[in-house]
Amino acid sequence: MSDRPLLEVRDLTVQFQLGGGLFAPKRTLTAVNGVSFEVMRGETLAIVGESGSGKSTIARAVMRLLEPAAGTVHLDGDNLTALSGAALRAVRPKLQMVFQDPYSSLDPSKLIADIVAEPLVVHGRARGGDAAALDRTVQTLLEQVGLGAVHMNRYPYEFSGGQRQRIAIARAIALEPKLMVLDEAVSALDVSTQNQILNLLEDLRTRTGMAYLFISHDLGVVQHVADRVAITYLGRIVETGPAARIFGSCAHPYTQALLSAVPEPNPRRQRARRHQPLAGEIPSPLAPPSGCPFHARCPHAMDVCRREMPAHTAVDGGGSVACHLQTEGPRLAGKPLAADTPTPP
Amino acid sequence: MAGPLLDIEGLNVDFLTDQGWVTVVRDVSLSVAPGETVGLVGESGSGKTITSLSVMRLVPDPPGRITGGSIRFDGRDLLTLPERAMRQVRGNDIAMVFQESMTSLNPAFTIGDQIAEAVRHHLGLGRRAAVDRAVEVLDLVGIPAPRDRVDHYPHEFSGGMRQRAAIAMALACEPRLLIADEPTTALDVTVQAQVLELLRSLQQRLGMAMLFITHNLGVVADVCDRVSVMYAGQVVEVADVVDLFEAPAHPYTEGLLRSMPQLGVRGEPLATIPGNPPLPWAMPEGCRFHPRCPYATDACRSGAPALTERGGGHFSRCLRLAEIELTGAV
Repeated sequence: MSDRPLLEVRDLTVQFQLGGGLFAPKRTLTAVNGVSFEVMRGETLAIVGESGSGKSTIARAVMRLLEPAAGTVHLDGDNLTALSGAALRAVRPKLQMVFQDPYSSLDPSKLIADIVAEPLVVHGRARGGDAAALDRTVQTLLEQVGLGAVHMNRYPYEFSGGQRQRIAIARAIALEPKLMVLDEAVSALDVSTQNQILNLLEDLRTRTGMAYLFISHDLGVVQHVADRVAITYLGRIVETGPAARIFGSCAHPYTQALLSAVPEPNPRRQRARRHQPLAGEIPSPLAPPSGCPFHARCPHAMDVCRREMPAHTAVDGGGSVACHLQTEGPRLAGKPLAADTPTPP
Repeated sequence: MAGPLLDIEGLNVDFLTDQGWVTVVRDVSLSVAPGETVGLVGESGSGKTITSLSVMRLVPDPPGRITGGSIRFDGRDLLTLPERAMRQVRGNDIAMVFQESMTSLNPAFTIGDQIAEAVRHHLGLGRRAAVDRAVEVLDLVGIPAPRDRVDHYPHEFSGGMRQRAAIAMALACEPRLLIADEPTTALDVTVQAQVLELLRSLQQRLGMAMLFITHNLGVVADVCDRVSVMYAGQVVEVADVVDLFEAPAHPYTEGLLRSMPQLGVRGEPLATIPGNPPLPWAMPEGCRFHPRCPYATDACRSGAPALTERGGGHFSRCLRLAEIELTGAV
């Protein structure tokens, strides 16, 4: 039972319809394109990518905040994509989300106590309107995130960004979810508060056995928190693997470019490793390139990369990569890219 | 070495808030030599942006007011210049690049018109020569097909290209000082790497000085020669970039360095600075960092430390500088 994944996403595709106004023709934007991954119980899977890579769309589709065009999302055996109405509401408590901006995710007109109690009330866990019992539960939740009873009768504007994110986390854990989706949950915070929240999340995970789907663009943070990592580019997962393998010996040229673009916080080392940055930018999902989505920026691109989308193949050390270098031309055949190879072998 | 190009001395900036007048920048001193890149580092609310806006005399008044100090540029005090003369300094001698290029570019004008406007005003070029200059600087910042792109509107550019265009606009009049306020914060890391590389190479080619405002220590390690660290409206440490990372002299700097997640050990909690930065109307007595400082003693609660030199141009605002041993990021 425990080796079945908690969350299983298969061939997820999400599309948006644009235009369709008087002058704009209707166009279809494929934000997520055939993405598959799973999250095990108690695990942190980080989905990493730049803006436009589709990582937040994946999070929203998993939460059923968006309707996928194709694919399935199974949580704990239930097919979320097939559920609706009361049946969907019944599984929602297992799945909670914390958003990036703690200034817009909390209702400014509500007291903290009411914000944290809301999921309990909505899901009928407020036990027949026993206000005192509900207050005690809210207080316990606030204590779990490092706040206290003194904060219950205040409004969001009285709190700093970090404290607000604690409140959002208290609200998210109120229903004891099995999976928490964290969409850039620490990106808006200053470093000194960011780490407090990361430590709190790690602490909650060990105590409750929750799993995290951790959406982030910050590789420094991901390296610290993730068990496994999925790298996304233009709506597709291009590489997955254990965090140690991804950060130690990645297999996709895009992963390599991403890792080398993060400046190292050490002037001597950073200046020694500086090199020509990856050219270009992520293409528009309205006009995706043929073949591999990364080929236009890839220093290793071959003819086949311009024609065919590479399939995922297994990599030594765990995980998989979608790259023609594995099977065509100079075959890597399951081997990661050598560190800092500027040209293919 | 020649004197500093920019020399800020004892700058004070007050803001009128619901809580009355509060000082958001207190006694800030900072200098940038010709051709040098100085980093101004701090968390949100530390006063780094207000300091840079003061140099341009762009602090919104009301509610803000520069209440003391001097800002000398090439020997002239900018704070006493008449507005007319200041307008010649802005854009011409000192230019600025902001975090949000979408909001700093005017969506109703083409990129070319916006660059041309600046060079016609400052350099007195004619219409045609101004457009040629716009094409030239767009080319300089690596925008492909600049002759075509000059007629495009900001929304037709990607985020990275817009930031390049904003840099082109800033450089069009060949400023001697470029103030870059979080110029790469809104960009993806691969594009950030491109823009940092661009700024570095332009600076070497044009010999301009840069005041680089950021909260990202990786970016500081990459581009800065010297660094000033701000906390709660004050400069708490000034050092050569290598000294700052390897031998920090202020507990706040040490805390920032230790907080970098890259330096954390997996499975162990990340280092943190406890608590939150103080609000400007509730500044702690004594050293402003003492409530969060692991080294604080009773003396720190009452005595406000001055910025003192520890030697070799390395300054720190810490009473216990001589007694404590701080570790850097090695």
